[in-house]
Amino acid sequence: MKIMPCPLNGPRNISEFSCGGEVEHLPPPDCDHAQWIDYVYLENNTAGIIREWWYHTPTAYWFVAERDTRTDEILRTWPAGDFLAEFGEER
Amino acid sequence: MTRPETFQRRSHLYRVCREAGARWRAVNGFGAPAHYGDASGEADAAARLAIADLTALPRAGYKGWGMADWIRDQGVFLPEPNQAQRQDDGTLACRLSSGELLLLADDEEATLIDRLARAWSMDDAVCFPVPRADASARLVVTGSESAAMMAKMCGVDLRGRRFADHAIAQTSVARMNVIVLHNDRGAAPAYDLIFDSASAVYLWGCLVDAMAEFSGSIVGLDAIDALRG
Amino acid sequence: MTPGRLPASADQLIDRSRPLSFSFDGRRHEGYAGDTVTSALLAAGVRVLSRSFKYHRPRGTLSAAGHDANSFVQIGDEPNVAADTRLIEDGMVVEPQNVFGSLDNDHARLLDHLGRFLPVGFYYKTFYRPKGAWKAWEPVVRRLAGLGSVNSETPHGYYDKQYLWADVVVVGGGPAGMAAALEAAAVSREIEVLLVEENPCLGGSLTYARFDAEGERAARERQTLVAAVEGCDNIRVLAGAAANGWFTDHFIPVIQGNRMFKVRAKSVVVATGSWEQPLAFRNNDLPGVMYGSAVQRLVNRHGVRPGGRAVIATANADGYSAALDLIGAGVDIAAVAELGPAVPRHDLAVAVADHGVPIRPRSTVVVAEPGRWKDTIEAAHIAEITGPGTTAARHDVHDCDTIVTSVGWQPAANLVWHAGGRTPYNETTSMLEIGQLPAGMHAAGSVAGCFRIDTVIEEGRRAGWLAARDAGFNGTAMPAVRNDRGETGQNHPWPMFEHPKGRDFVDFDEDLQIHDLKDAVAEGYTHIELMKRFSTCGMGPSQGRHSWLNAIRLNARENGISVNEAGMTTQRPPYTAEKLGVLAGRSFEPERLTAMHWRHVEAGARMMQAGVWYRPEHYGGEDRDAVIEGEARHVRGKVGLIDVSTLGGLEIRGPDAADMMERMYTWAYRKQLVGRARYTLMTDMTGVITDDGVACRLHENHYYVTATTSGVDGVYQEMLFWNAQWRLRVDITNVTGALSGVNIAGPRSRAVLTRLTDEKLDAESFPYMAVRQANVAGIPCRLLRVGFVGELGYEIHCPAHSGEALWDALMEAGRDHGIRPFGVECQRLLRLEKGHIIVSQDTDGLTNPLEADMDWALAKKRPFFIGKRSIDIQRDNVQRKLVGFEIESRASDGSIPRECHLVIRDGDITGRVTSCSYSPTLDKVIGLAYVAPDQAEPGSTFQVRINSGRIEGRRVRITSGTLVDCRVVPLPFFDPENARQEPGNADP
Repeated sequence: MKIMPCPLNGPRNISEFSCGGEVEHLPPPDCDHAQWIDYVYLENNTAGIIREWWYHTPTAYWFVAERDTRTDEILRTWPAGDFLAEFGEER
Repeated sequence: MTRPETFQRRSHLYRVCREAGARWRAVNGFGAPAHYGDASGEADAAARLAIADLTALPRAGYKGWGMADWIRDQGVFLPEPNQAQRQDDGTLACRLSSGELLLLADDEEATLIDRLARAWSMDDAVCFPVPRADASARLVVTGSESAAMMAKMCGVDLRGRRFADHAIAQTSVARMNVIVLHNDRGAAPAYDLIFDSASAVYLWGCLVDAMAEFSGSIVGLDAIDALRG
Repeated sequence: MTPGRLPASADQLIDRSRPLSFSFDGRRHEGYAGDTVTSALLAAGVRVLSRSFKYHRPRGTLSAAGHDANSFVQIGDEPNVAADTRLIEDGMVVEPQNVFGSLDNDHARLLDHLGRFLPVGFYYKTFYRPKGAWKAWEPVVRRLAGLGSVNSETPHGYYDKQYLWADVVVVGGGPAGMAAALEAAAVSREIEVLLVEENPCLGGSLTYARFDAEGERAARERQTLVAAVEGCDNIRVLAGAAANGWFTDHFIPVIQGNRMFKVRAKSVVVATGSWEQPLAFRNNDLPGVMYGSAVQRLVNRHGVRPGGRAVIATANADGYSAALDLIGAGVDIAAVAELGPAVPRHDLAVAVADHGVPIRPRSTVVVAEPGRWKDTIEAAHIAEITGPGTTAARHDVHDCDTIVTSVGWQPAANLVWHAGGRTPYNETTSMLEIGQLPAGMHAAGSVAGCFRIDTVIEEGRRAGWLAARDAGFNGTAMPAVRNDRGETGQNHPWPMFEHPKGRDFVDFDEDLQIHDLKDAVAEGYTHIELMKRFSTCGMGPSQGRHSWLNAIRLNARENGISVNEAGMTTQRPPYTAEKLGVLAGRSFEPERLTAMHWRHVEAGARMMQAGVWYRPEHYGGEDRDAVIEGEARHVRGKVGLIDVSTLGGLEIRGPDAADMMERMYTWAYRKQLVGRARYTLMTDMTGVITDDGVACRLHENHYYVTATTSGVDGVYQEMLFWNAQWRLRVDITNVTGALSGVNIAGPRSRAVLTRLTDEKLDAESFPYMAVRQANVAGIPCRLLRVGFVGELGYEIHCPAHSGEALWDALMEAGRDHGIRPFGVECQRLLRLEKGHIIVSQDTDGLTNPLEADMDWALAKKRPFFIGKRSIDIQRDNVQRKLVGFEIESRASDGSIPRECHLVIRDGDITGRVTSCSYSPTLDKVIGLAYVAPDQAEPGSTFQVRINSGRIEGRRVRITSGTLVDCRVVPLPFFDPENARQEPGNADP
């Protein structure tokens, strides 16, 4: 079983986690329908390095992981706050 | 004779303990299993492998963005996340995350828990009480075989050399979310399990099954107190 | 000499002081502790163990190591046990498999003569014409094919799983594995080494192979290494245990008996050895044709003389060491056929020649001549090799009862393959050799292509040291490898000699001969994966262990490509067959019980599962419908009590709590008064309804929100997800398990509750949708006046550990008011009468609030809540509506529509029923259904097709159901003014 390095709990079996999808920003309120539909329904399905939300179920803890979808290798993780501080906050 | 049904507060496990032959004593508003008829034998058994229901013992929780500041203002020594620290009055302060604290008392007396409850107020609160006393059940697994037995249910290596005393693992035990606290009782290795109270009967059954191959026992609070010396 | 038991020697693995008795095929046999079923039977002269899968040919042991299905037997209720490896026990009952009649007189052996009607791929083409023929053939084929028999009455076994952690896992307890474990353990006192060995004892090839002409080296090395391992504190040995796969991050399931160890390692040494490979010639499957390693296992481990007179065909030194062991066991060697161009000059060959055994170079065995009953060998034909797979016409015939073959090895590299490693074919050595290894994995011993004992041990030590380094340990110098690998262990490049009459088996499990694989390629199944699937080569129990190396060679030749171009089929876990019980283990199925659970059971409740919870469906009674209707009448007439503890509960607290509420839920909460409750509706980003409940404002900064039993974990996770990004000053806590809850409902509910609380309950002090924190029976509670079931009623939420006391107090206080508990089904009926939806029953994965007629619960002015934008987009395109309906009349058999019955218009589906029940209050059948928007006005009619009915009291599915007329009516069905929910009106 794969191991996920959790920023709060350290390395754990991947079965303790669930994936919340790629990190995306809400489109601006004045976006057109097409933009909104793209946000709601379409996934990028990138073959490469992506950043995803992950949830550690026993601690109800959301964090961000950087993963290479080609190798399934987890390259880096951030606590949510650190990630947003580095890459911009949602408001 | 003390009977758990005469108390307003009842562990979800009182029927299971009663069937196992529990003798009761009043603890913190509960009728709690003191022993099962052989107090001294139970202490020996607990040094090898045993489980006990500690649900009656006091506990509390605080959670929120300002938890660390507020709790330090109250004079609590706050450890790092996933570590526990014994406070002056004997309470264990278990830090579950940067913003969440769980307080466990090993005795009925829980000065710190009572004091925090009086100090906290909803007005201007920066953290909030978590109803741990009712949300959670608390069991303890004690004895030299406890880590080996837990390996049948839990994917985290809990052996002392990898998981020091007062370390915390919030993980999956028998497919349930459980806070595992390494909390040795005297010389005996021991792990406190704090988890959803509604699942107490389920997890108890899993533990009883898992410890059969080690001839584990069900013991009462007296045996656990005896281990602590 | 005949097969039998040899004199005792110290190195044998049997204990002659412990004789055991067992039966095989109805006959009693004796053996010793440490004997396998195969060795004990051979010692007793029994060679035939089974009948083959397709042709029912008699089969005996080939590998004496369970590498093939030849030795599969049934032991009691356990099918497909490898007799080669299963140790005998006293009183064991062993039966042959795939036999009709007895093993000696198998009625199905005639199939052997019908072989031409069973060509390769026969099951894809033979039994399918005329149309429907397969139906007739299937039971016959299923009975003829197949292996052991499963007894479905077998009692449940106890299986379980256990985690095991190690720094270095060494798989394989032979010389390389033991050397690796010892070296890794020596790097640091702190390191934890786990050594996994498939056999019951350590030693691997040292327990049977010969590394010197004198035959002393193996035992000496074994004693030294085993003693060192056993004396080493930080090596844990798991013997009799199969490392059955490699999974990401060095997660290795190891099966020992009925337990699966879920081993997590930091690095792995693969020292799993190799499998000897067969020589294909006519009748190479006769009992008595064995690998060199098989006879060595039998002689050296079990003290069994496997035959009386043997012919040996060999392409390497191993055949000569087997010859020496046989000579030592008193077996005559009629001749050695050396497949190589010349008689080798190594010590082993010289020693064999010194015994006067004739050695014929550039020769092979081409035919095994069967005895009268086709289950013994009478003679071996030896012929000169003229080219790859071809021989001279002249055959020299040697009388013998045993043929021993040593023509090559195949690495048991399963864990390497599972980890993504490759084993390309080396055209020089004719072997598959491990190439690049995945990170943290090392290989040593014969799996890595090394067969010379000094080098094996040295390479093992180095692999152990490297694995320790990968696990983060250093402190010793890397051990040197001084010796080279020598010349032993090389494979013959083409150990296949096709015979015009066939029966030259490549795959023994599946009864595949050389021409079968050639035919598969000729029929167009040229790719190795296609050839495998069409022919089933390698798909039997041994999963290609003894067949795929030759199969790939054949495929390459038939396609005119190199072996590496032909490639290898993908290998996946498991390495050995594993029982379903082992995979299942102990079943961990979490269950949640409310504090009042046992009170329901005591009251005769029929409990039902609601997610992980147990809830009372209804209380007692044979006639379910009548009981539920009775409970409903009681609530409407007097007072009832229901356990609602499973309801989800969330605390939303902090200065931004109102902001959080308004972002997550569709309605408005900022202006909600403290002390009041409000309906909540949650949608996802697509505007689909995901949950509902009630929000109680307990403080300016505190909402207590309920959620559905099954929805609360998702709601909690979703709220945390968004607030991980929004960073509002709000804390969200899931308090579902912390609170018990009951709903006391009915005209007398206030009268009962008044007895237990000082809180004023009159309409003015405690209006509808008010929330109070008050003591009930001395228990601190949250009191909500809500009307889900449409009567005056109070939800009382209290600390979970006081839940049973609260229940007891209410039942006691209500006794003279006739209080009775009611179950989930009654509550569903009562809420239906009030037209309240249940999320996920009356909504589905696509329902938006507009379809559910809940526009009233959508905040119009607020620019944002989750889902708002998507709902607004769909506002002009509502495709269905949820409506209330009554049926005009029941179906002729009295059936009424059920959930998911379809709304039909002109033969098309326009909607479906989501809830439907007979209402005792209204004496009507009422329900909720999705219909087309133009069918949704009250007074409209539509038809529902009933797809189930009652036959002899049992509900059955009817495929062409009758249509029932339904009429849309306004909601709620019952008490539209909510008059019954007011205490003044309701109190008796």
